[in-house]
Amino acid sequence: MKKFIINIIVFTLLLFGIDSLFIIPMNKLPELQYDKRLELLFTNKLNFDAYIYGSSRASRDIIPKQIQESLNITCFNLGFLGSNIEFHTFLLHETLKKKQKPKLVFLTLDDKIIQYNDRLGFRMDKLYPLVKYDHINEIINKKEGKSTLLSRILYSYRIKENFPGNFRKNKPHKLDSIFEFGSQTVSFRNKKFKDTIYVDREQSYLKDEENSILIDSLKSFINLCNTNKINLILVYPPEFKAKNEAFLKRIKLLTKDIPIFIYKDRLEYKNPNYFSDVAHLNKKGAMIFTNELIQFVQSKLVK
Amino acid sequence: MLFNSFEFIIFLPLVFIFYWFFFNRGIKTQNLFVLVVSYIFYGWWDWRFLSLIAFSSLIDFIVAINIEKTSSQKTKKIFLTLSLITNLGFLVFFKYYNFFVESLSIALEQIGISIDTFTLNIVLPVGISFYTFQTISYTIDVYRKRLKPTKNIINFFAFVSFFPQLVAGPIERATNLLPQFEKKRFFSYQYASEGMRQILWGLFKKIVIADNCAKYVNQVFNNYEIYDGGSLIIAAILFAFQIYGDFSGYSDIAIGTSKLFGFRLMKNFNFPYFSRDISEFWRRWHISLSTWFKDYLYIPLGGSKNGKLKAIRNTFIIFTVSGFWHGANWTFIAWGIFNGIYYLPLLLANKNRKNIDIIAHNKFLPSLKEIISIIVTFFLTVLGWVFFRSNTLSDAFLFILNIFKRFEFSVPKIFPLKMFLFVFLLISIEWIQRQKEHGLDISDRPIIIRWLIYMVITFITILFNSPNKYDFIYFQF
Repeated sequence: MKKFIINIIVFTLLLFGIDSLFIIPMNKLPELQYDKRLELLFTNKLNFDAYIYGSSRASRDIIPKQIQESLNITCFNLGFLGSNIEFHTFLLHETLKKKQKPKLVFLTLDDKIIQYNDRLGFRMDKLYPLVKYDHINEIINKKEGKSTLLSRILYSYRIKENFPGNFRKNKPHKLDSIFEFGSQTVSFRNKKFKDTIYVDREQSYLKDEENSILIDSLKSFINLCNTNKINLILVYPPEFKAKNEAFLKRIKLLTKDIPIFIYKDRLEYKNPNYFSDVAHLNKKGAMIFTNELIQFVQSKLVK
Repeated sequence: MLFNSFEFIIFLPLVFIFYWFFFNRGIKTQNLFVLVVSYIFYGWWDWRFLSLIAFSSLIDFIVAINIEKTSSQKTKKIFLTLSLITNLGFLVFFKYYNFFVESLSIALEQIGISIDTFTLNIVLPVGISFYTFQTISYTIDVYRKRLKPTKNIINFFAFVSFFPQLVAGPIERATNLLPQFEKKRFFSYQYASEGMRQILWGLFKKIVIADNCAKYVNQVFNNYEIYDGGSLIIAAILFAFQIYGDFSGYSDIAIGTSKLFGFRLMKNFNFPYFSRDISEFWRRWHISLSTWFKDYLYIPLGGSKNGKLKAIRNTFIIFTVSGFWHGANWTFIAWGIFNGIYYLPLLLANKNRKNIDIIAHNKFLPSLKEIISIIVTFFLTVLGWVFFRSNTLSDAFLFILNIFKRFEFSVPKIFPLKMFLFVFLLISIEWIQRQKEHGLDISDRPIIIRWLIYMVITFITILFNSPNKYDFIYFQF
């Protein structure tokens, strides 16, 4: 029995000893990420007057530098490809933990913002490399149903979601590159988009497909802005198809008095030369759209 | 509580310490302690079903004593029948009531008769299929005079409820396990070390292999209509490894845990995917169940002694009942019948006992003929597993049809390279260890190699722990 217990103790000590070596890759993980925006946010290094939240339609269609120069406020884009309203609300919540709160927040609207779909989700993969930060670790544990205790005592368990892919130095993908102030505009056109024709017919919207968790997240987002006296502007960027009036009607009902900027009907928004694909503007298109948005903000500020 | 849960990590060492340090004075204290912790373990699932297992145990305890006491053969049969009716009655009610009612209703509707069905919201008690068979085998063995009934109620209750094997087997025979409760257990370092190795191996199979395969399997089987043929084949193969990792992993943990307390349980899996034909597969897969059916159903029906036709009939009865044992769904029955059909040619040609040696014995690699046999047998079982996994018979048939209809000569949509590497690791280790008790039976290796392997397996299990937690598949049976 003595030998058995000694062996168990030695095994446990060896396990923890080897496990402690995992602290090195854990600390190295954030450095390997090319997109440092989240780390800047979680370490309170972002201090801007205005933030842009949303999916890729935020990060590609709105140029923060243009807003800075025109409105004379600092602006940063926290739009993430494939992210949903739950994620945006989480980011806003993190932003508001700082002493200096933003004055202005933009939130882009996708047609599926409050409907479950597999294109948009909570970007856990963006949080995994930041697991060295305790509060990120707690969020991951809660979302993934991991054991908090185990994640505190075993580094290997804590960082396991990063194996093995996140330990290679990330190279920016052409659709996910980060430019000034978080902008992710693209200048090229997607090959499959080449022969696409503008869709001018009425778009449908099914209330039955709405997801209550996403609706609650949207409401939380709005409440956070109201509680912190932040000016919120909802933004509906163009797609290479007609506006979804049914969706807009629904959103207006849900968001009540929150100003919504809906793109104007312009020839450019029916011209494929201003789009990178059916859902996103290219840099040329984003400049036009951002300009319209700036004018909208200026008109609101004057009022 | 699950074997791979935090609660069990706390439960097991505590039980171990109390068992060997405080309750080790004699057999009585040892067995009483085992009984109490087993009931705590079982009650953790649902305390309401403790009364059921206790009642079942009490009936069989009394029945067995009375079978031995009476000299009248007729009375012995009555007692045995009482035991069978009680145990099978509970099993049928909890597991099959709704199935029979719904199936009857559908069948009558086909001939134009509509009836009002009354289905119940019945919770299936965990482990009922396992402990019921265990206690039935006890009373039958007493009836057949293979075993003397125990007069010690604590010993018997502890035998029935022994926590490592209570909820998902192995289905122990009283002739093997009950005598172990009637002798004091003494701590053996070698035995306990073996147990720890087997637990680690079981955890690797469940956590790394089974739970990671489950993600892809569920994704494809739940939406098979949208996937290409290649993805369907991959999902079916992954399910074969999921169910193997899950079930044999559980058995390894159960057997290993038992060793920590000085008990030896029967081997339940013997590297089944290295089988060269279906009959060998069934000698290696869920051994405790297949031998149970052989001893308590096949042989009483006459086995293969009364001519080929009766042997075929008995074989099909066994496979059908075995399928049905797994669950109240026609898919399980179809799976059983399929395996019966596979078995038939071997039975007719008297080749069902052909491959009884260890494959490639004393050789490193199998011959080309053996490789082909292994692959063919494996794919036959994979085809059967499609039925086992599918929700309905039509889903199963459509799944198989879509493999051919939607096959594309391109990289499948689902191609989890990481899983293939894990499966390759599993197959490699088990191939090397195929003459041993389990994959991590490495007591003969040098100490440095052993400890290196323990560390590697442990860290692989931690690092590739699936984010999604899945119950052991056999808990639903």
